[in-house]
Amino acid sequence: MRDRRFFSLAMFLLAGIGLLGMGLLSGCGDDDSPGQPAAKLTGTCEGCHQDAERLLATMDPDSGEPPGDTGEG
Amino acid sequence: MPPLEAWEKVLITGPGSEEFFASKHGSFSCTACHKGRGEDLPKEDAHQGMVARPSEDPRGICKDCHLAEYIVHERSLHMNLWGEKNLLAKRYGVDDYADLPTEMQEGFQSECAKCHASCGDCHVTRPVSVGSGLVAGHRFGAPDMTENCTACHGSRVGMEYRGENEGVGADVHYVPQGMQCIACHTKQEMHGTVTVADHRLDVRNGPKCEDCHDAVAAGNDYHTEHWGELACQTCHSQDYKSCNSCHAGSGLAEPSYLSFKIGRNPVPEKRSAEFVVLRHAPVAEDTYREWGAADLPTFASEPTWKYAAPHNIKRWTSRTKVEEGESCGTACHGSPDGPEGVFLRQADLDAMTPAEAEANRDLIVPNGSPVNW
Repeated sequence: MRDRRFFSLAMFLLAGIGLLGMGLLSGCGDDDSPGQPAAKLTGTCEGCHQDAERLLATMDPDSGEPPGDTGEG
Repeated sequence: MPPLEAWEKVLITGPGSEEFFASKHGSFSCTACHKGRGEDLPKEDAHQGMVARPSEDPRGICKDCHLAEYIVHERSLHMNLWGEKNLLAKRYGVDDYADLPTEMQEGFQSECAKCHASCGDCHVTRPVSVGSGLVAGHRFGAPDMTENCTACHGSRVGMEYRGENEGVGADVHYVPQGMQCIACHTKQEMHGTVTVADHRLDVRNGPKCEDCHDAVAAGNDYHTEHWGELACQTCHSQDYKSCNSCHAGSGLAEPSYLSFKIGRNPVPEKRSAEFVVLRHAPVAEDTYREWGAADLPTFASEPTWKYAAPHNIKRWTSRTKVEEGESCGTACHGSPDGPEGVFLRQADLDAMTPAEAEANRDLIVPNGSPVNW
């Protein structure tokens, strides 16, 4: 009786550890998670361009020269 | 106008976005204008083949619906910069821009032509010269004075109109959120006509003061005396910005400065007044050195003091408002002969290089009071 209870407990712990390991390896199921690499984020045109946070997550820094004095006019 | 962050430039929310989605433009799929792939994809895949600024190619998508505007815009100054091209050719000594050496044309295209205006630069985003970015949630509409017009025409016209030059008041017509550029500069003028204008003053449908102020020609003795002889701005504009030499690519070689100069009309075939206000343009004999033109062979063929229309009009200026007991003409008729005076004179030529003095020789007025000229 005691052996069966010990076996059940061990199996339960093993299953829990296994599930935890699988979770860590596969990552979160939500593609839009902020923890995701930006390249993995997906979305439609409207989905991204109406969502400031998602745009921020995927946008490269603006490396261009800042606009200068507008010479003409 | 503070620059937009990269993500702000392409965000379609907030003011204007609902109007955009409810409009004809908003009923199209994004890819109809911008191409790319519209499916649920990572950014890099979705953006493959995307055209960020569809109207940059004048033969692009806009003309499918706006054919009449396309036909005239394709010939317009805003699209082609005919005025700058013609001046460059004239100072280099050739008949046409196409006759300039390849290096000169490449320099112009890479530095000057980046400021041309596409449909989108006026109607949906800030101009590319100030970093672009949606103006109002992708809504299409008439140009906004700040976000569109003075984004390009800012350092002179914009600052004059809003009274942003130190010690100089705003234009009497400036009513924030009230009288914007398009109140005077109509779409008929901005889009142009099928007739190519070689110079900004050749553009049809431009505004004239008399369009609104037609009853003032005989409104007082000074108008009666000088009407048609003096451009309105000679009395009613304030000090305005001029520039010194420019070095293409690196911009102005010296800071701009405020001044006021009246001289002979350099474009009598385009504007009828005998005397007009003149603005110094930022061109020098060696401006295009980096483009292979160490000197401009016919630099003196075009004046460097140009017909100006300062956008800082007031009824009372340093010429129309005088001390008790003095004549209204005091400021002009008693103006000193030196460079500090309001007229472009020999003293101003003496401060220029020989070639520049030669270029402006026909614009100066004699010394002494105008009543003795």
